[in-house]
Amino acid sequence: MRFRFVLIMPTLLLLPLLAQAQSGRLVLPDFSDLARKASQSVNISLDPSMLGLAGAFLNADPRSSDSDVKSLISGLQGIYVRSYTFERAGAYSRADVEAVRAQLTAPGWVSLVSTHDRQDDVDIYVRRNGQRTDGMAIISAEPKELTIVNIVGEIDLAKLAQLQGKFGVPSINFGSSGAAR
Amino acid sequence: MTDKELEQALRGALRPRDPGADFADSVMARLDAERCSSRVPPAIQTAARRRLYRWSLPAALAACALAAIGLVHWRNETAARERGVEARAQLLQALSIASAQVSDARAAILRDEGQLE
Repeated sequence: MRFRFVLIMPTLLLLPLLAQAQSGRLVLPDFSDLARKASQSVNISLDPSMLGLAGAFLNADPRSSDSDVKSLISGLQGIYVRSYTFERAGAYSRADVEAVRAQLTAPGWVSLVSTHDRQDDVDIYVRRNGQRTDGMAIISAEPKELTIVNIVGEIDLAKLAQLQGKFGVPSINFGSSGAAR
Repeated sequence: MTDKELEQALRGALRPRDPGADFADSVMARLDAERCSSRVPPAIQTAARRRLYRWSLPAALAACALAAIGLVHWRNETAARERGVEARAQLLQALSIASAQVSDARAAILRDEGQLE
């Protein structure tokens, strides 16, 4: 009886984590240490209810840029962002990122883009569920900046890229001579 | 009637008359009497006051309750609006960061392709 209890209890405790892992949602580690070291930090957690609330405050006018956002978030269940900018390089360790990377080896996650150079590494993963994409993860590790984005739900990457430059973020010119970085 | 006769008749009619020592008292007594006749009887006055007292407390409580409900509603509305505006700002910031990262990756790929060519 005790043996069964010992087996069942951890399984029950792990069920929410397993459910999360199957939904495209990552378990983001507690980066409070990094936040303390960072000169700038962004910690955004938008669950379905917050997304719904934010959506209600977007301009419904189809001519406004809000309408693009509205259509983009219509299939989403969550957006989670952790971004830290440091004064000096090497303020975070590889181990800080590995906890997230390890989750992306789970079945369903596919590496879509992986760029590595001396300056930074950007990895984009999507979680495929049949023909649908129900999650996306972006890990951008620069010497002085670490950004992790987890978008849960059906996301259109082309639409997401099109939003560039619409909220005060400078747009990037994709010319043949290379882009501004 | 001659002018003189008319003058004498007028003088007689308008000659000063002593009002008497009790004139002031009689005026005051008459004023008191008029004041008393216009006053509401004490029994009716007490009943009206009692009725006023009976309804004034519930009315004041109802007014306070309505004001409190209104205040709470207004505060909830304001808080919900603030949460919504904050959520919208966070959403736009999150999408900005994600969009910038995707664009960065695209730019890096295009740059690599350009180098290969």
